[in-house]
Amino acid sequence: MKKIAVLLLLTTYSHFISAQLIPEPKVKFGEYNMEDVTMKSYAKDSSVDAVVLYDYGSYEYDFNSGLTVNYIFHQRIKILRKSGLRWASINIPFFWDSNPDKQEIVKDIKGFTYNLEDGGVVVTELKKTSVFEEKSSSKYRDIKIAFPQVKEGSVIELTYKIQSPLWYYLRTWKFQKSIPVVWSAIKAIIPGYFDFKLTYFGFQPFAIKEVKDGKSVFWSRSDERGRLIEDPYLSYHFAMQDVPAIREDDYMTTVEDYRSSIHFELAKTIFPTSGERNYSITYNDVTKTLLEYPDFGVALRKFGKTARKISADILAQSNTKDTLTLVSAAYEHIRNTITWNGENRLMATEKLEDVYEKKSGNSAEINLILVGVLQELGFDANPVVLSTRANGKLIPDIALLDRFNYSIAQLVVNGKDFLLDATDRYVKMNMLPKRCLNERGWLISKKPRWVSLTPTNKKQTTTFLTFSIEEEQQLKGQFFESYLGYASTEKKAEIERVGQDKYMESLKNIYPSFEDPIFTYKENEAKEARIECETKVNEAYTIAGERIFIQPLLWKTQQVNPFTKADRQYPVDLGYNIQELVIAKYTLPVNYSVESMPASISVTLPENKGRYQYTIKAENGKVEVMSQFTLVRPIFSADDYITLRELYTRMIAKQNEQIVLKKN
Amino acid sequence: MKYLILLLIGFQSIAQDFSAANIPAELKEKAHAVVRNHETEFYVKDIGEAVMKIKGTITILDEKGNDHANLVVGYDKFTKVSNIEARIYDANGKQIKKLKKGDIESFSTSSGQNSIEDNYVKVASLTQSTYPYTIDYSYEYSYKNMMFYPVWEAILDNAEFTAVEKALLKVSLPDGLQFRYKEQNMPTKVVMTKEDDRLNYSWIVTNLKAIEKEPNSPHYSLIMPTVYTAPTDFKIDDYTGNINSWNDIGKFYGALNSNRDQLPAELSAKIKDLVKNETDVTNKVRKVYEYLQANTRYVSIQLGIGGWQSMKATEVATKGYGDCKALTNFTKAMLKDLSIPSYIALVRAGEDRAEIQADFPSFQFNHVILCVPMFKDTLWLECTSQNNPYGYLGSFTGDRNVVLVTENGGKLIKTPTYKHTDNQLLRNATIEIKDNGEAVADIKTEYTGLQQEIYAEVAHSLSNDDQKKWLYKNLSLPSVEIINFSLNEKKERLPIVEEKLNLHLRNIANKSGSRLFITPNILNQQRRLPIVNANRKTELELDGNYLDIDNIAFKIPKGYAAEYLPEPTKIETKFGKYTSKVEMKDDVIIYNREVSMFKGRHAAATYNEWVDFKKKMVKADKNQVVLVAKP
Repeated sequence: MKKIAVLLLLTTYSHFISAQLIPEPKVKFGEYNMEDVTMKSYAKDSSVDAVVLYDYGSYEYDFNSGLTVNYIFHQRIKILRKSGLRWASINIPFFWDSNPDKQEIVKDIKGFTYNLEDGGVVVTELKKTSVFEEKSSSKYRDIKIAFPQVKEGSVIELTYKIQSPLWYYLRTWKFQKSIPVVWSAIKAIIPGYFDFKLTYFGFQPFAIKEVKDGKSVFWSRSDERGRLIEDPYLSYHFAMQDVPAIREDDYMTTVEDYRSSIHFELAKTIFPTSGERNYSITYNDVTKTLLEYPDFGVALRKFGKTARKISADILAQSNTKDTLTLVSAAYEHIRNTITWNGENRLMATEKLEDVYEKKSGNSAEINLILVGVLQELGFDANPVVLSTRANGKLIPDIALLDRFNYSIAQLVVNGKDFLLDATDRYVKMNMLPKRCLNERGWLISKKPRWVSLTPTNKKQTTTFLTFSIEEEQQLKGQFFESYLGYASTEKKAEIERVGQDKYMESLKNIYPSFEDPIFTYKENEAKEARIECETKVNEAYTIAGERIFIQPLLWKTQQVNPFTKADRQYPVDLGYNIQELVIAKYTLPVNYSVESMPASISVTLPENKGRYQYTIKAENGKVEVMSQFTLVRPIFSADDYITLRELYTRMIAKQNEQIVLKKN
Repeated sequence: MKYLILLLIGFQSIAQDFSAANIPAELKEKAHAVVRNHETEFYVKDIGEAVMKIKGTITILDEKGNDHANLVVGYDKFTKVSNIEARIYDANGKQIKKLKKGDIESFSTSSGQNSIEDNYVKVASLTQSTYPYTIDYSYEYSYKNMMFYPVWEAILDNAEFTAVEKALLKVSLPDGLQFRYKEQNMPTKVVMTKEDDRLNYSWIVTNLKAIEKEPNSPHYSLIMPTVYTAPTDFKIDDYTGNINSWNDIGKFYGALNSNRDQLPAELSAKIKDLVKNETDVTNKVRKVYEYLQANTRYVSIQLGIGGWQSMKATEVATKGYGDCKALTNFTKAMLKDLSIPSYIALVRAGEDRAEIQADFPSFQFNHVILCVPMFKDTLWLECTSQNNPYGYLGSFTGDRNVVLVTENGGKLIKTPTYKHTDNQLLRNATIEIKDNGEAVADIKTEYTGLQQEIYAEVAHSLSNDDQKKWLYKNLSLPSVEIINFSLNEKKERLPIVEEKLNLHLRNIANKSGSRLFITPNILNQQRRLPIVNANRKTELELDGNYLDIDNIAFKIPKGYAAEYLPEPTKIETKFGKYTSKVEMKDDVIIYNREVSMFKGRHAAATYNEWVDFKKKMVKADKNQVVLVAKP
């Protein structure tokens, strides 16, 4: 198996490169390839239902009627199976504004469907009656195209232009799609007035990689001698061949972290009239930009007055100067006062004073308020900006402001980073919700730096089963289950969702034969969840003649391996470390003794990344079993996958073993 | 003067009772929200136009009631929304916010890439984070789609955990115009009043307590207090209708869709050529259906009157796609050219949809299918699917009332029902266990009828890799590797999918010391259990209607003897039957399990009997065999 890096990236193109590794195919709109039309299945993966044969995009600037970006797209898709027919319905989203000068315009839509019929090719043209426009929201519209006469075997071809007044924004080019792509190429010509930073995501190799410079007329103007003035430009040309399909998998942060794509971010404009203007370029610039931004740094400073009032109240109530007590008081006050509206945001969308008054806000608003209050309490608290798991990873070498989508609060306690997110009701102090566990965040302060988001808390459950083995397949006793760290946040969220009473009621079903169980819900000092139960368990073991067979972990026996596939191409990103401990103690019936029991084992992953331990001992009419599963890495590379899967398999095997008791 | 002031104050507190303090205690039981007052007024101007005014005052008691504070107002080409107003009040009834125009957003509700529709919603969030709070809103529709009169649910949206202090429906018609209504489980009856030259029909409900929905209940829309209303004379676009019966429904649909079934001459000739060697009508229809499936696809295009009027057959012929009406009409047109009569049937499709109100003729449908009467029986065609087996309706449109659109008007009839023996799982497996506890399994399973649907869907829509991934999830075995698999479809009237699996298993036989433990039912275990409920209120509705037969032979390593074999289990109830048994012959353990489940509705009091039956099944499914090495 090919080893795959998490993220492979090219740096910005500071010098020119030229690498045409594979010649560009000659493709002209309206001229189909016979092989494409007669193709029965895709050679590299015979089971796919459709293949993108050709995907081409050209980005060019035009200054003749204001600043405009002209996109030209050209695509050919082969439909191989009926389920692939969904690719014959095309959706083109575009930006819409009530002011026509600010709208994007989709035009020159042309298309054909090619079908093989009686040995010949029948060409059906895409007519206007198959093109529809739909309002999807107040800012976006969709052009929807339903290609005519598409069936199994059809090739569809489409070209269209988008004329965009959004000159500062260039669409991300995705080489990789949910179906394979035979050829994908993008050409962009960017005049010297703009400095775009290009970032490549993914791990697929390029077929063409070219950056060249040149000169061209972008708008009609002449010098004193009447000659048209040319402006310098950079031209980019990238292409890939035979790109495999990519799709979301379990334990993946987001597919966008691995999809081959090129992303453009405007770094600088150099206009003759207004001179040079910098947009974010380095992470230090990110800091500067955010500190001066109205919805971030400025908003935070404006909140000072309100923050002072809040902190005065907190000080008055706390009556202490102890750091942790004060931080905790501020944290609890903010998260109990303001409800998170569910939005992940880098910046505020409303005045922080109003958010505090309204008691509802996005992640940036809530945590900037927390920063403000902590600062007024005298702490050197600052915001940390990050990208959530679903939003994709941050790249340490390349700063892109629009990669960030979330803000939290930070301060240093006892020489260590202390991270706070007041959006979540169930996390402990200095513990971030799972959505934030995405490797690193950037500290926005006078001394900006990276902050590790790798959690110190793990997902931990500890279960004690204490039962006496009674007659007629019954057990009598109790169990306690403690949920610590992320296990607690998840459990509490689940209980909150269904309601505590209903949740407790549903617990009666985890084991079909609880009899008269009494469940109690408790929380420890750190407010972590704990469930206790006093119960009889019916049909808990098998009796055969003089023998009793019992699976000692009862319902805690894991039945299914979470990793089913034989191999994996991407890392397994769990977010946090895991520990599951079960201790089961049994009192045997007086006239029985242990005839055989499972052997104690310990299985360890290479480099101690994980471990399964099972110990069992029997003495004085008692049997005690300890089963402990631990993973001490939040992320496992694709290379670790097979051993990780095997560790689960071994655990399941061991947990399913049984103790045999025999009548004396 | 004094009087006047008192009166004013008094008046205010009656008209604007937004304080949460005045909610009767019994309405707060189990409630997350209380509808303080809700009014729906449907004011019919004439047969082609109406105005609907909605007013609501709702107190949100806690976070789980917040759904009611999201105002979602749908509209389309025939309905215009205006005057959306809303105010929010705190617990004491003090106004804290007024909805501004900018707070309202519009979205398309088009259901994705494959649909082109003109349905939109206006959305405004009025949620607060301090409870309780009260929202007070109103808006108005001008309404030109008079095929539909309102269906009014006394408890807003039939929502659970929602109590109603007062709710009102008023239908007002000009004198002389008729309409029809049906009351369902309404605690109060209609009150009619005459006002000038108008007739007003009102329903008022008060003090309805919050309900909590119970699992395995009849569809709640069929049991909650509801008033169905429908027009008698109406107009939409340039079409007028008169509805008093299902026959009239069929007549109107027929008229709206008349003369749209001519094929282009070229296609007509092609179809005739296609079936020229077929003498049997059934085979001709099959050929036409196969042509439809190979040459068209489903794209939902429902714009304006196009929601009810089909695209012409000529248009489908040139484009190669259409929505359900278009593709059904197109198929009908092809059959017509072969002189095979067929009828469009209006249906409420979907697996979980409530059945239609068969005694209340009105437009209650969301789909159409085609009915082809044959010499002996009737053939039904689903025209929107490229893969559907010929003549199979399944869970989407089977077993329900439909209205057949004939030349003589509409006819209410029922689509085919699938018996429990039609929906089978028949499995034969051999599992060879090796000395080290690992095993190799050869499994052949035939799924028929409703049970094959999901497998057919997987076979059609997923690539090989994804099929495998799906099978892994579906198998739910401790440690398994799929060596080989296949899913083969037999497209019969009662379709079959044959699944073949070749697996490598670990942890199937658990070795502890000299013993080997095997749970023989590894492939079809019942695990989920309903919760016992001593106060069950609604009837028990069981949808499952199937027969499962599992036969597994385990070849065990030499040198083991059975130490324990579970007793056979036999359970017979009105809900279903269960038998399982394990036998050992030489080095082979034979496991046999047969389960029949019957569709049906049972009294609420029998609910716990059903839970008990399920418990017994779960227990029997977990039975294990213990083998011990011979000395």
